[in-house]
Amino acid sequence: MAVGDREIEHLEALSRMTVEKDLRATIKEQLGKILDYVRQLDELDTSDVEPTVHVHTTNVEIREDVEAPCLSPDLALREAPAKDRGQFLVPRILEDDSTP
Amino acid sequence: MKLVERSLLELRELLAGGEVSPLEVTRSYLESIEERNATYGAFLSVFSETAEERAKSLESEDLARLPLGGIPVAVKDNICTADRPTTCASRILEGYRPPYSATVVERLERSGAVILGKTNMDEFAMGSSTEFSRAGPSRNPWDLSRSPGGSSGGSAVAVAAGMVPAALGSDTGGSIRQPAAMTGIVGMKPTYGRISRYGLVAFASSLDQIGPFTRNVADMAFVLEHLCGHDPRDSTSSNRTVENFGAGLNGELEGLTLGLPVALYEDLGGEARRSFETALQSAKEAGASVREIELPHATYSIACYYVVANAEASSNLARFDGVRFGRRGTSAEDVLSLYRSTREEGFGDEVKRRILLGTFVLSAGYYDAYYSKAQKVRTLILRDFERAFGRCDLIALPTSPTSAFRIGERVGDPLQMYLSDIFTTPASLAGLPGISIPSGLDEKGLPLGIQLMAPAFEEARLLQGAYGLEKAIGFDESPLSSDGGNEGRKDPDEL
Repeated sequence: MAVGDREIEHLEALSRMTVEKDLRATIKEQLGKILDYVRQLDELDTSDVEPTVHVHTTNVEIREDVEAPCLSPDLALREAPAKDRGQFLVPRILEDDSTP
Repeated sequence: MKLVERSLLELRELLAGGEVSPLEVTRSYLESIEERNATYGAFLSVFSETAEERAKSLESEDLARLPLGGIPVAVKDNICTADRPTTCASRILEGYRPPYSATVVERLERSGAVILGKTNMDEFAMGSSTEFSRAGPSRNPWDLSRSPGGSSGGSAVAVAAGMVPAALGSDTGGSIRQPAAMTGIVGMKPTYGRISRYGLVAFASSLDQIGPFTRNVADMAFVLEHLCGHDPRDSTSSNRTVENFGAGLNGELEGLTLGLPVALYEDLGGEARRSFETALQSAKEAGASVREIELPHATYSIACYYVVANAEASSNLARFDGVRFGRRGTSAEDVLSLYRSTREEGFGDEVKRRILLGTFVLSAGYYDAYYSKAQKVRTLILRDFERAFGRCDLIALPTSPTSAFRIGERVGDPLQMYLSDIFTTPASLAGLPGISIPSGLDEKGLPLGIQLMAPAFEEARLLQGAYGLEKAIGFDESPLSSDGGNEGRKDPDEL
């Protein structure tokens, strides 16, 4: 299938990831080729087949819902690229008209 | 024999018997890394100081009581090591030091192992050559102009070139088995659920498994046993009893039936075919019988795999957003541009390609045609294996269609690179255990591998078969045996 600029822009928006100009042309061509290749799956009749979500469903158990130790706030924040007063710092999300 | 040429079990005996100390062993291997790593690019970080401290602390322990007491081990850089670098060979995790260790790292340390460092890989384990690494490629010790395979290429090279006796990798579609084959060592992907994935940076959660590289099957059985087991922190981790995998190794192949999915490799020619058939012949001479089996949907494995794996990858890698950890992008006027620039600047080309592909197959209007379809084909592949194992004990395939390829040869054509995973992706999709052992050298002097697969949780059977086959093949070449390990072998094409 042909992958054009519109499709790439849509995928960039969905994946929250910009693709730099230089890469765009090759990626369009490569994605087209890969998507053509995977369409071979259409040769198979799967109308009565259940999808596989988990390969082994036996011998797994959900753990008890009990408290367990977790990271301290300091440790959880240690690797943050920006932080402020014990919190992750990100650009403003809500506009606040009352502040000048 | 030098310490760095010893097998893991030999080292264990020397250590437990007090003939060498943990510090001597650790120092020998650190020296080997120091001497060789610039050539091979196997390690991204070396923990010289913490390793020596750890080895010193083991001096007062009773090593006979610690299964891996004093054994040096390397760990792939997508497995978290608390307070020590874990970068997935990606720019986005440059400088990242996780606040906790993976369960498998805790298990290694509890067993007395000394972790020497973190190994090179394709970024986020996406690749088959270790070329998609932010740090540059690892080099194959059999021929430095060639790739060691991937994505766990650094771990494979570390073992093959005498920098550690064992290393951990991760295998999503063949990332342990293929580099093991290309570097002439043993690599194993256990059953999905055998080893906890807690602390393994997720690529494709329904496929990812951690597994070891070693120089022989007996070492593999020994180290594997100490990595497996239930972990409440991984909900897909199995609570099956872990057997003593080494106990059943007797080298017998009598009575074992190997199933051959001939249709899957009928087009394979050349050296890979010859080496595979020679290995089968050795197995037959040692008493195994072979039988043709069918895996009719296995030819769709690559298509199925690249839809499922990339869909899961696009979802898993959403966590890299420049907010909680890792590197933040330069444009941060608003949250959306922060996300977009972080990911644009932080991810390499192959990772971007896969995120876009995965996003596409999960997007509205395409989900059923691609993702849902692939999940159904996955069911057909699973059923093929169930039927096939009714007729044989183990299934045999070549590990890879070729020996090691040249660095740079395949990077421009991703589809071509993906197709080289044809023999490893079927077991991944079915969650089955698979092991690659060396089958011989091709005419260029490069190693090839044979892969055995077993039903789920039949690691003991798989290792027993692999041990017998290893004995029958009798491969004992090493890239270090001819030149002392510094230069790598020359390709006859270049002489």
